[in-house]
Amino acid sequence: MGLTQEIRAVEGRHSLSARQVCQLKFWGPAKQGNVILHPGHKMKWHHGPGQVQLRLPVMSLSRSAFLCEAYVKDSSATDQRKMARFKTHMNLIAQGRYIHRGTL
Amino acid sequence: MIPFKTTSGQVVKLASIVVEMKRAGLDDNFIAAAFELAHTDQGVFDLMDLWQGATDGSNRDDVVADIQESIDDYRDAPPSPLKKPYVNFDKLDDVAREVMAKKAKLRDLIDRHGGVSAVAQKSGIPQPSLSRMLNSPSMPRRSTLYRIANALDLPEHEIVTEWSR
Repeated sequence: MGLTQEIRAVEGRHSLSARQVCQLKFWGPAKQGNVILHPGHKMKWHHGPGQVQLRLPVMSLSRSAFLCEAYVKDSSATDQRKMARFKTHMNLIAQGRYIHRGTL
Repeated sequence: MIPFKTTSGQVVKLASIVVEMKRAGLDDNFIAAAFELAHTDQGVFDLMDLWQGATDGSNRDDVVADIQESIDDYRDAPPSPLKKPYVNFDKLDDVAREVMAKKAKLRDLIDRHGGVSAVAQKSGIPQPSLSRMLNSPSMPRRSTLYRIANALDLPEHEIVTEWSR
C-alpha cells in the first residue's frame, strides 16, 4: 500500500484529514534502535500515542531526496525489518540502480 | 554511505543462520541468494539476523518475505536510473481495486493448482512472499508473475496484469 493510500486509510478509520494526521515530530533521522542510518531520514505521521503510525523513509543524496517505501509501524519488529529494507534501498540508490516515478 | 563488508565473525554468523534456515525447510535457492547478498548488503544481513532472533513463526515469515523482496530488488534493479510513468493520486484507489481483482483471479488459479503451499514449492517463491503478494494491493512484480506462470505452465495473458512493476 502506498503512502497516499495509507493516509486515506487513516482518514477512513478516524475521520481525520491528512493535515490533521500530521504531527509536530514530522521529520527526523532514520534510526534502527539508537543507531542513525546516514544519509537516511524519516517522515512520521501518527494519530496520538498507540494509534496508527505511518512512516516514510527518505534518502538524501547530492541535492535530491528519494522517497522510499512507506509503512505502518505496528510494532518495533516491523520497524526493525523496514529499516533493514531501507538500508537495501539506500544501497541500490547509491549505486544508481533504481526506478523512479516522478519528481516533486 | 559507507559500503558494507562482512567481518569474519559476521560470515561465521551467516553460516550458522544458513544451517538453521536449511533445517527450517527454506528453499536452497532462496538461502543461497540471501547468503550471497548478505555479504555486501547490510540490510539483508540484518534481516537474516532478525530471522534467527525471531521467536515465533509469523515473525519469521515476515522476515522471509522481506528477504525475498530484497533479493527481488537486486534482481530487478536496472543498471542505471530508470524513469517510469507516474500514477495519478486520484487514480490510486482504482488501481488498487484493479490489482486486487486480478489477484483474486490469480488466487483461483493457484487454488486450482493445489493452493499456495503447493505453488510456492513448485515456483520456488517462499510461501510467506506468495501470501503477502496475494493479500496486498501493491502492484505485483512481473518477474514473480512469470515464475508462477512457468511453474503452472500458464500463458502470459492469463497471469500478467497491466498494473505490474
